[in-house]
Amino acid sequence: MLILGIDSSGHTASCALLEDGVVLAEYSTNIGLTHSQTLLPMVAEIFSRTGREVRDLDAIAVSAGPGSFTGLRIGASTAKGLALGYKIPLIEVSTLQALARNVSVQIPGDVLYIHPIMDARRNQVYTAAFANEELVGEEEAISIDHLVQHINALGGRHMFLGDAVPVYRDYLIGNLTVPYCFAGPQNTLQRASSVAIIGAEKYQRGQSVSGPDFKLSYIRKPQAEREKEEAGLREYDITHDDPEKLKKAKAADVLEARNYKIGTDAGYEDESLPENL
Amino acid sequence: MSDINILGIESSCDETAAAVIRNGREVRSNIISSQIAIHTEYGGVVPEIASRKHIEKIDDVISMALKEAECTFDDIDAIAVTYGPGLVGALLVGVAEAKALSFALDKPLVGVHHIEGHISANYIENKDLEPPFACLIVSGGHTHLVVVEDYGKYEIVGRSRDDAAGEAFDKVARAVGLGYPGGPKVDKAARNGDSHAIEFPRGVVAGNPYDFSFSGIKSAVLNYINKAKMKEEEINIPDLCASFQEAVTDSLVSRAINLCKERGFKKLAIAGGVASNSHIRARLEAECAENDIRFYRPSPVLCTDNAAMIGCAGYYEYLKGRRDGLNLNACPNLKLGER
Repeated sequence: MLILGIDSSGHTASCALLEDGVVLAEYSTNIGLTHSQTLLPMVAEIFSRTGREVRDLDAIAVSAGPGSFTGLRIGASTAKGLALGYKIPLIEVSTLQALARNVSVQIPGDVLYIHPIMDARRNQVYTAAFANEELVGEEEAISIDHLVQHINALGGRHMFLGDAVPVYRDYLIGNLTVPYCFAGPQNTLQRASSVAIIGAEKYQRGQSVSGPDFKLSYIRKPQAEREKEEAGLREYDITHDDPEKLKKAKAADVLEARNYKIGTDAGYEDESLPENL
Repeated sequence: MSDINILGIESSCDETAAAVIRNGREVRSNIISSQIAIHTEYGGVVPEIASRKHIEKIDDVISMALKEAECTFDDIDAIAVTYGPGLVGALLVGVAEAKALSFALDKPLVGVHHIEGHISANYIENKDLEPPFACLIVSGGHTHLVVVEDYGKYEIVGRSRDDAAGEAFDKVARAVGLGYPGGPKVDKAARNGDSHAIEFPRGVVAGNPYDFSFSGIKSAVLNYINKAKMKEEEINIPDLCASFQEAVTDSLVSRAINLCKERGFKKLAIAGGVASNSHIRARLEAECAENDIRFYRPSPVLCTDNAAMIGCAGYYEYLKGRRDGLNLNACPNLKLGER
């Protein structure tokens, strides 16, 4: 089984090839260039080095969020483009779960909580807790003081990693009342090998999707949408219909793709613009 | 010579589009997923929402383009994609997808300038049109008067010093409550109005007789509206729209016709979203006829953002041997004629 892992959710661009559980190649860079320029040439490089071909892939595992909105989309559209030509399935892998897997430890009868923390700006982090490779609770965007309160109340031993560690290191050291540690620089940032390993597990459980069905989990809505919702929350707007369902049905309809046929001869018979354009 | 099929991909603003073009000018499919209904709720394009919708739709749009063209990836000779100008997050989706497809399928990749695409839309329905010719480009982000010297070779003769013509339409439409998108709404309202009811200034720019200015016209319209509101007078929206549109049209038409007369061009084309404005089309057609100039215009559906025009422009770049690498990046401020 050959799986390509891709992660461009943060400052690091990373790709890896996993064959039957063995990491054949992994290529990560964190050199301040845009993922748009670096990611695909890196993917090409690992295929060339390993002598494998895109068409040989069983699936492509992609970091599906949270993370930088644009970064996530560069990874996802790169994966979609690779997958489209040969109808290769995609696997959505949580960025936080993959980060936690960088330092996976399973000690029988013992628990070390792993907390990937990603800088979400506006004094928040994207985070989730993992124990013995399992998610505890849910993925969320919360403030660092909230997170510290939760952890202090929870007790136990804890490990932190992720790009928000340098941002909040001093705060964590000053406020945590439980035993804790930080991951080293070799595994504190996103690694595509972790994405590919989780991807392989999900693929074996049948949890792959087609390219068009692949969804990113941004956690946060676009700012304009949040502002609109905050401004528009009026009492008389409350209805008994499920608003999420209504919104989905509407969005699917308005974005419908159509073929706007163009005649083969010169002629201006139709001088009007179609209604929906 | 065997046929050359280009897969065109476009995602620079709020339309996700893909098309298959045979031999540069024959549109085998022209698929568009428009987000206009979503952005209308916000009164304009929201870049983050646009980018999110592009990535949701792009696979379907490309697959549909192949299906409607009754072909497969095996029949495609090259992939052409818009890499600028436009919204960077939106452009990146199309660029990353196109690059990955090009790598996976081992097909050549050609990056296309969005405005070059708009100009090339004229080739699709006019098989006889060949450079050189004069072209007036009017859209939400651009107002340019250019000489198309050859395929992919342009001399920019005039440009807007401030707002693009389309921006002025959007702002005026918003000010009188017509909403987004302003171009078609003003066009429609103006049909029942008197274009000489209100005299708005025609923007004149010192230095270059071919440069445009639309902020003066826009401000005059907004001042007129504010004054009327203060005096509690009712505004005749059709008259206001028609008079504003007349002022913008005068600026555009006079410069385009002057360029043709001065340089002896017998062919004038228009391009860009605002080129579907019925008044601008009618005025240009009349003045071209008067001056013995052949007037070319794309159908309105080809004036809007689409991938057929990207496939067409990409075809001529492909013939010239242009190939882009896997490190092609989105260039949100790409200038016409630049690489």
